Amino acid sequence: MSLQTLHLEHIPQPHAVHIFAFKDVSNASYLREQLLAGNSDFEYAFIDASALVSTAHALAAVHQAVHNLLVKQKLRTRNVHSEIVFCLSPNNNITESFRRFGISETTTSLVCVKVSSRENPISAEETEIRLQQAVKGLPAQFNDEFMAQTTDWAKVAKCYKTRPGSNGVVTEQLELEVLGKMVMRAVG
Amino acid sequence: MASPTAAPLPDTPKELIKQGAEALVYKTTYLLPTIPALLKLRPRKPYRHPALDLRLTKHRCLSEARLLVRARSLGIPVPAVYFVDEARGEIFMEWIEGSSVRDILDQLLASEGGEAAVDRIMVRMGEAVGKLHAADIVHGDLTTSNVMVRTSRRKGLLGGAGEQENVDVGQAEGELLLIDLGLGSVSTAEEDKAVDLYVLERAFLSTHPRAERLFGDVLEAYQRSYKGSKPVMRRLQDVRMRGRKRSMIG
Repeated sequence: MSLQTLHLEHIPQPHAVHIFAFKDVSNASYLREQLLAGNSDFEYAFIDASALVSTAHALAAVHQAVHNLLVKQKLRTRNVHSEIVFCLSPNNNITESFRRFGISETTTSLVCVKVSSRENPISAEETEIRLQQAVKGLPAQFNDEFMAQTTDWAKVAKCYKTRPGSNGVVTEQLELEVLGKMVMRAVG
Repeated sequence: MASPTAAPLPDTPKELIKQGAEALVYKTTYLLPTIPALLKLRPRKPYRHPALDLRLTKHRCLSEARLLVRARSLGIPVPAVYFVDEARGEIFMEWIEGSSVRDILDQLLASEGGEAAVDRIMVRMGEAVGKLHAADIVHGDLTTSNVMVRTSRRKGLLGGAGEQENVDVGQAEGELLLIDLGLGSVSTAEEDKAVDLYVLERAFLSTHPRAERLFGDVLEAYQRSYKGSKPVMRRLQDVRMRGRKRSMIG
C-alpha cells in the first residue's frame, strides 16, 4: 500500500495525516477544477511534487497548517487542506501560493494529503479508495527518493529564492534553508 | 492568539535540560519521532498582567526566531529554526549534539596536548563572532556557554529514517555554533559589538583563568574575518576601562 498514515509530533491523535503520492497524473486539470468549484468531495491538499524538496518539507507545512487550525484557531484560507498548500509559501500571497505549490494543469507528480479529525474522522482505507478513484495516475511511495526524482530545481530556486544548480541532490543545507523560509513567513 | 478554548496539544515526550530566568529548554522531537529537536519555551509569568505577558512573550519569541533565521540565511553558524508559536512562547529548533565551549575548554586544557585543539577552536570562535558582527547582529550574551561545538552530526535529510547516520567528528574538529540569541538585536553601533566582545572576554577570564591569552587568538581571528572591526577594537579599549555599562552622567 502506498498510502502512509502519520501521527505528527505535538499534534493530537485524532488528527491523523494520510499521505498518498502519484506520478504520471493525467487528470490534473479536472482535479484543479473541482478544487476551484469548492467540491467538498475533493477536499484534499493537492501539492505539486515538483515544488517539494523532501518529505520533511511537506510534513512541516502539514504541521503548521494543523497547528494553525487547532491552536491559533485561525486559518488564512478556506480549510486545513488549502492551508497546507499556503503554508508551503515563503510569502503571504495566497493566490500565488496555490499557483506555485498547488495542483496546476501541467502537474504530473502529485502529493495528496488528507487530515482526519475528531469531527470528521476518515480512515486510511477510505482515503485510499477515494483518492484512487479521483486521481488518474500511478501510485508512488511518499519518500525522499520519490521527492528527489520529482523535484524541479529551477522551480524550487524561483519559489524560495535559493541558489539553483544543486545537481539534483537535496542537501541538508538546502532543506533547512527552505524550511527556514517557511518559518520566516509564519513569524513575519 | 491562543484562546482558552484552544484544543490542548498532546504531550509528546519532552525532557527538561536547562532552565534560565526567562525560558525552559527541552529536548523533544519535531514532525517524526526520529527527528530530535530543541524546544525553547518561555512560560507565562503569573506576576505580569496577562496582556503585557502575552505581548512580551510574543515579541521576544519572534525577535529571537527572526534573528536565528536571518543569521542562518547569511551563513552564520546558528541552529536552524523549525517552528515557532509565538503566542505560546515556543520555538522549535535544530537539536545540536555536542557540548558548550565552556565545558570543552575545561576538558581540553586539563588534558595533555589539548592546547593545539583549543587554538583551533579559538580561531573558529573569532571567525563566527566576526561573521555575526559583519551582518550587524549583536548577540547580547556572548559567553563561552553560549557557543557550542557539534561533536556528532546527522547525515541525510530530516525525514529519512533509514539513512540517518551520526558522524563523530571529535571535540576539536566539530562545527562551532552560536546559540541563544534571546538577548540579541540588530545594531550597527560599535559600542554594542564592543560590549559583546567584552562580555566574552570576561567570560573567558572568569571561567578559564589559564586561558587568558586564548582570548587574544579569538580577537585576531575576529579581526581577520570582519572588515569593519577596527573601530570596534578601539571601542573595546574604552569598554574595558569602564565596564559593560555606559556612564549615564552628563
